[in-house]
Amino acid sequence: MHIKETIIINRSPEEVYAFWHVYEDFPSFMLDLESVSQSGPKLLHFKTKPFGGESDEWDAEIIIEVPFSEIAWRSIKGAKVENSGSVRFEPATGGRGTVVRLECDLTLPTTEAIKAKIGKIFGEDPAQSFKKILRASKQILETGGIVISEASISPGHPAQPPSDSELPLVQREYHRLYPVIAEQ
Amino acid sequence: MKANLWMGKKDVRVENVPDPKILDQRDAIIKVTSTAICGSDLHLYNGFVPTMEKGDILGHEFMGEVVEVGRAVRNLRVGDRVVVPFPIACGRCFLCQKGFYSLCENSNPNAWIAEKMMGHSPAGVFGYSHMLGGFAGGQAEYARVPFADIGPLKIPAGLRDEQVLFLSDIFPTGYMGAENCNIQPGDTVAVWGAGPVGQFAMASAFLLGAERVIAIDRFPERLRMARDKVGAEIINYEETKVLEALTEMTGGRGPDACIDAVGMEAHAPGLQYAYDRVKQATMLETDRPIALREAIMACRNAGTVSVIGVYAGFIDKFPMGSVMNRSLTIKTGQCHVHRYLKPLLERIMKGEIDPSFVITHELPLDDAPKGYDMFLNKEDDCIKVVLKPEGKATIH
Repeated sequence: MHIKETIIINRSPEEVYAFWHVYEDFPSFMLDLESVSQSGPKLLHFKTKPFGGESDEWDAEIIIEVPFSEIAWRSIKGAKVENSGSVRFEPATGGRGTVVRLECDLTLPTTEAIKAKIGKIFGEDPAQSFKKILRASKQILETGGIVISEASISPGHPAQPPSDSELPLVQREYHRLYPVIAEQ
Repeated sequence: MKANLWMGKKDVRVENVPDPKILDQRDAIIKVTSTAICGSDLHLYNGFVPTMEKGDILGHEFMGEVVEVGRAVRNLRVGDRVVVPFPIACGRCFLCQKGFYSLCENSNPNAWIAEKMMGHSPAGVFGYSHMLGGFAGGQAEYARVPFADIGPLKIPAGLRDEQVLFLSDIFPTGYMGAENCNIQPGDTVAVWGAGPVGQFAMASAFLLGAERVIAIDRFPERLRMARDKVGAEIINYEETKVLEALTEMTGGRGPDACIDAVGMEAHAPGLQYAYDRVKQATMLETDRPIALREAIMACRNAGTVSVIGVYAGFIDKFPMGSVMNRSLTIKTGQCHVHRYLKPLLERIMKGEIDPSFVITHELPLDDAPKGYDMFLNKEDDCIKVVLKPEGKATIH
């Protein structure tokens, strides 16, 4: 399966690249990830949040790193969902920020049981979850955090404030990396 | 806290819900002192707007006192009195920076739903469906205001809530509707719908230099308000054929600009209404564009049709031939309220307009269900309802 998604971020290619280049911070805007750790100079270890009680984990290698322009990766043998892709950064026309292009090839497993699990991780529509990643990165870079509404904190939640027991569902704010925006 | 909840079609209830909390550094919490029921809330009440969920807090016209601010909110302090604009806008994206705040690219967490219906998503809006973000509204004792460093307008002492509350939506909405008409000296502006937004469109048309303003409605109390408070000429469409009357009043040329302040639940006597009502009921169209069709047909050649009434989806029998062949300009949009807050506050402070003239009823928040019902059925000549979380009922 080939997925292509794109978004414009009102920040320079240098700033957007710098943000995407901190791999350990991917879980701040790839909300299905639990952690990303650097296990070698070009090696990353991905771990998802538990879905149905179980996390998925895989290793990937960075195969392209061109400052302010492109990052590409591919999963290493053994990943349940083989995946490879790239994120490219281009100046938008007229100095209107950066066009971010995310492309990904996923080899979805064939057995029904694993498909159902992947469905949980990537949602009904994997393209949609990649779009969500791009939106979240735009929101952090432009506004300083991921935008949350009362209803968006969990599926089916009405538009009313979360109770104390629901508060942990709220995605943490992300001003830590970009205090500059908050200070403006 | 107490809040007015949407529970289904023609069913709103005031119930207890958790108090809002700061969820982001750019949030503020407002203790609501006044909140209003908007004509567009009736579209929710009547079940015409998709993606509402049982338990959603309604309300996008509200003001109050700041009781808590997030760490990044430097412009507001606890105790400040503020009016909150109904669109939620980050102030930092391409469209916010161009002044199109109601099209903020970041403020709708459910943008994907709106994209499916509309192609691209508008901004998030308080208390106005999950498609527009799923944000809790302001018909409540307290409200969380995202991007509080960008939206809320501080109100100087000496102005009553009733004079400034409508800066949240209907005054700027009416004003933008008139501004979009590019009014020139000597112009005649006709306004379909003499509800509160229509009243402000008419008053704004005069502020912007229109020579004549004509109000079109069927409720005598609204037409009286347009005539007596705004100075408009009036047409009751149940008694008079609108196109004939406008032709006659404008020497055959038609109004220079026509404003649709009605939107998707228009009424009309006769067959056209039956046609649209049936198509809407059978989901062949979502909106009844009767006022819009008439505004287009009435408008003079090379004139402007300004649409501020709310539409949600699709319309039928749109007279595109009339628009194209007669060089009409159609301008529309949800109001970019943030742009108008300061200039319109100045007009209020200078005494050029007192927006409280549209208020007919003030009720305690507890009576919100009664307020919706009265407003829908135009009982007791109801034109505009203000709800007071800590208040008593007064009739204006």
